[in-house]
Amino acid sequence: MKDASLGSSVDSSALGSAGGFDCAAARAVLHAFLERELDPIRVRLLQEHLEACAACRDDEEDLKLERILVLEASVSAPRLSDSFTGKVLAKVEKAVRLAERSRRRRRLLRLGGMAAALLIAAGAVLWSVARREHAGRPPLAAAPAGASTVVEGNPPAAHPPAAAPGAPESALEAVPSAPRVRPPPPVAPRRGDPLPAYEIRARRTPAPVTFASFGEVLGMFERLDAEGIDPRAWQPERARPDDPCRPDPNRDGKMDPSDVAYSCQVLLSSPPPCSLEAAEAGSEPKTDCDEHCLRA
Amino acid sequence: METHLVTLASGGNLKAFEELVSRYQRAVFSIALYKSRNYFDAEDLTQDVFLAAFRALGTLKTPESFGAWLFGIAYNRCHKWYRRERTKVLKFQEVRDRVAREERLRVRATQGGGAAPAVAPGSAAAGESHVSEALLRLPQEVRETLRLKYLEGLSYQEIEERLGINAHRIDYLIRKGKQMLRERLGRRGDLGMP
Repeated sequence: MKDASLGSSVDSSALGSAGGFDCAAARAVLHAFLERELDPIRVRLLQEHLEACAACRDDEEDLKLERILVLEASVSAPRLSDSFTGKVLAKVEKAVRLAERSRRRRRLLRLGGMAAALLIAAGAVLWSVARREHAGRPPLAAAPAGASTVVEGNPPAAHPPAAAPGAPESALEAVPSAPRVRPPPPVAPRRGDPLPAYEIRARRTPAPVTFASFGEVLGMFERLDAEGIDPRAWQPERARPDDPCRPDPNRDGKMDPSDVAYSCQVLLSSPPPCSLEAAEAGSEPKTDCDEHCLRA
Repeated sequence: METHLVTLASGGNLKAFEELVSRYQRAVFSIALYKSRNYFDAEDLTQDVFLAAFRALGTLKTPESFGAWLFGIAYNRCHKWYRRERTKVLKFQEVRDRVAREERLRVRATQGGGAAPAVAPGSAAAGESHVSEALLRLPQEVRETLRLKYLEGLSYQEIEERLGINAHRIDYLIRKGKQMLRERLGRRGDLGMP
């Protein structure tokens, strides 16, 4: 080992009584130390000696200067321009500024990420609270008018697009505008009944839809997955005409995670399809996950 | 004192770093010029070396050995540059630009411009005369050891393998060479040693 061989050249008798270097020993290894060719133990001993001995520190400075001058004298280098130091400093200052800027940007990104995580966590908590609060409400078919679902064509009698008097009409796009008649009393859907074709109308402010629609979206994703279709590459035009499930809930022409986000939003603002008690009793579907699209 | 300057610079003090740059710039430039044999490339390389050194100053454990550490960076950078340039394919436009630049430099040198290099870079003369006359006049063994140590940046162990002499001999030859250079150049007043 190079360091060991050089370090061993220092006679142990040159070491002081306390095991440190005296001036002669320090000068013997000073050159190797400056060339970084000394072993770490002797480096430490020498550093201790240099801290205490001003004469050896002067020698060290002389040797450093000598090395610089020898290097300069070894190459017939032309003179550097006077502005060279300024150029180097300008580069360094620019690098410092850039580093500071990127550090600030990283800090902002970290803060943004934390804020997003907090928002998601808060959303999840709100969602679970909302679910619990709505647990006792009537199921989807018995939901009060003003719900955001409208029926295409001729809906089954069990699921009329009921609009109760006084309900906010802005939430609905009334198609068609039929004369107002008293709607028949809602009948709870039974298992096996054909489900109505719901449609979510894309609006600037998302209209509240039902759990059923959310289930349809999930079912849609599940089937896309089963068929090996990438949802990001999915196009609404490719939907089967007889597909009962919603291909593009937010109607932005793409089947992508924003559809899920949209559906989550409407899910949070819509009443539950049935009560938990009824679901546990087995008389009604437990959740939206029992939707036919998922079962398909 | 240099150690103090290094400590200040590693804390972000640009004034202290400026002192270090002005102290070491010619030595680093010499290494870069020896390796690149081109004034402009050597200038760029020197700037890069100082920038890299400033960025890595925090990792320097022994401020006393700043010089050797800085030269280490210079050797590494120059070696990498050399390897990259050796395999680089030059476009015709780049060759023309380089020739035009060298021509401008030569004109400036003949007009006595202060910053212009004495030897036009890229020329055949520049490639041959990059090692100084003072170094060339040293005994062959001493000269070769000094060249390998200070211009190629090899460690004692690498020089040992290259020349087949042991570390003590290398250390002795380097000290001897430095002393001889100091005597020869000091007599001519070229080496301003204390």
